[in-house]
Amino acid sequence: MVKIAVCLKSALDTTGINVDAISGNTSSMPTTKGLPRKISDFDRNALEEGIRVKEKLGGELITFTVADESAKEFIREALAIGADRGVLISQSEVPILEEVNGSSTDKSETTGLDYLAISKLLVAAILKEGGIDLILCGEVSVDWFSGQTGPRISQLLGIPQITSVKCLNIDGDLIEATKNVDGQDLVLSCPFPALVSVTKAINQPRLPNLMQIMAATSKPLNIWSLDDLAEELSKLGALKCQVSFDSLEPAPSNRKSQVCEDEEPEPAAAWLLDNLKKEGYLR
Amino acid sequence: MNGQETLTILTYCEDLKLAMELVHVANGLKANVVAAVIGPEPGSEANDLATCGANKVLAYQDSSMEYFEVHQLSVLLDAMASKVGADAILIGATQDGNSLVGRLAARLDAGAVTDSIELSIVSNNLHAKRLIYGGAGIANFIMSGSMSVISIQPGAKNSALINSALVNSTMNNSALVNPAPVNCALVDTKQDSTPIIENFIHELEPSPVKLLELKASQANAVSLKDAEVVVAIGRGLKDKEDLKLIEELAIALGGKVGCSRPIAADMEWLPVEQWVGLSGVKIKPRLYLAIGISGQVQHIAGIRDAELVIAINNDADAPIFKCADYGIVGDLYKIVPALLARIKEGA
Repeated sequence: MVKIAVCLKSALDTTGINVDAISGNTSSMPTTKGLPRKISDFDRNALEEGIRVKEKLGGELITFTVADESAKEFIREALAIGADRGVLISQSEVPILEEVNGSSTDKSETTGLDYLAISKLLVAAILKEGGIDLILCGEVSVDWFSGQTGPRISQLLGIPQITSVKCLNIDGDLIEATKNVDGQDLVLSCPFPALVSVTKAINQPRLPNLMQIMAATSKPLNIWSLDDLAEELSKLGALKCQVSFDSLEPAPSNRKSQVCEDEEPEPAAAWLLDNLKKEGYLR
Repeated sequence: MNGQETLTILTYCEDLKLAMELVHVANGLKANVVAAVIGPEPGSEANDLATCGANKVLAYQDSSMEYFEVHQLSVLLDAMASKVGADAILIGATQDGNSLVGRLAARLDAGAVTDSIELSIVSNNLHAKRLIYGGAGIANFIMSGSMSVISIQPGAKNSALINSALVNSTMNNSALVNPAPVNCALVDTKQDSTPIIENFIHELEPSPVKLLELKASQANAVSLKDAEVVVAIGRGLKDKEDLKLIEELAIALGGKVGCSRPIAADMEWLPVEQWVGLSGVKIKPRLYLAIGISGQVQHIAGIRDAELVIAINNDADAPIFKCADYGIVGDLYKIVPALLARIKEGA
């Protein structure tokens, strides 16, 4: 029997963000306004891996999320996919640092919880829950790609971590995990309790069926406030942010953007190869 | 950070080339630079870092260790930072480097930024820039704590600016620069005398994480990281069999085959090691060909450091054309054979 915690981030779905920003057009500042949220892709892989471990060894799987209450729909989704219980650490009173809006000039909107605070909130909830053997999370989040939260959680709990894992095996209370570093596979091992962050290569996340979606509504979803976590948080030090957001600018591009629209493939190919020769990329 | 004091910055990266860049970035901030070297035989790396501009090098030697695990690195760097009174720690933004940032920052109760592309000092505060939202924007962060941990991408920029007016003027010029190759030109001249190399002694407990095996990755996986030429294919490919056409072009150009997300993640026609993009691998070839790839921001972020970008796509409105140097609007099934025929003619 294994008690598994999976950390799920309610991430911005940035696939729809305007691409004009890339071209360096300064009038089109990237903005998060109107962008939907979703469970961060890598965290879905973490959830899938947790369910597989549970199916093999038996036990309980609990998800942990720091977000406002709108994230309840994602936790319900995780419950439908296979989690037993969901915990939402509600932070509606303190905005998350990442919820910045490029068009906003009001600095008061752009201060909020950084990874230091978010990790402490997750750790406080994991401590309150107690008895966790394995913590799983995505190696990074799909909107910010920082990859700080997993390592911060393991340090705060004083447990080992293995990050960017693409293959996970558990034998008794020993974890065996494979990660790829510069084309080499490293097989690492550590005992429970431990934190493992996963890559997208580790598995193909399953989708819930209709029966599971209906059954999820009767699974428990706990909402914990900062007050509920006061005792645990008192051991972790201040939630004070050490990083503040200053400004946002579009990512510039220095590309030439020369396009050949010749209908015929041969002249187009000749045009390209001539340019490559001219630039010194081809003999 | 108080008053006009010089910052003390501790730098560490397991990759020597990037470690030298970190020293260069820290020097650009007019900091007192202490470079950490950790390894079974740190001697020659310590010399290299001393000659490239560090004020001091701290060398930790453990000949029995073949792999320094993140937990142990965080313990050592914490001890080194407190010994030299560091205000900030710069780490190379490698895969393990970024894991180290989170662990070390939590250990020091410090703020952190990973994958920074530019550092500056404004009104005695350290500022760090990084890409966000799948590469669509650059965020500028102010590090407000008494200690900061920042990982730095290869080719990062630095500037030691004192007031914000100056910062604004440089920001208008252009925020990103092409990576400066690390060589002798990066050696910073210091007024003070020869740097001191010092052995760092620390009782390190055995790590709970053990290395069981180190093996080359699966044979079919292609490493794109150091490839000079990458020919990448996307959703425009109609059939897995047609990969041969792309492979043929890659061979003709002396390059390797990459792909965009759908080919690796949805179709699974190529292994994830060949997936170019923010979620896949970030590459820096001299020449990059995006064939049948529309150019989502996540993909573009993965080729930001490519020297020359070529796009072939049948959709004239595809965003890839704005992010390419040369583009051909047309059917890849006609353009690629035409390219192959011409290259063969020329050979």
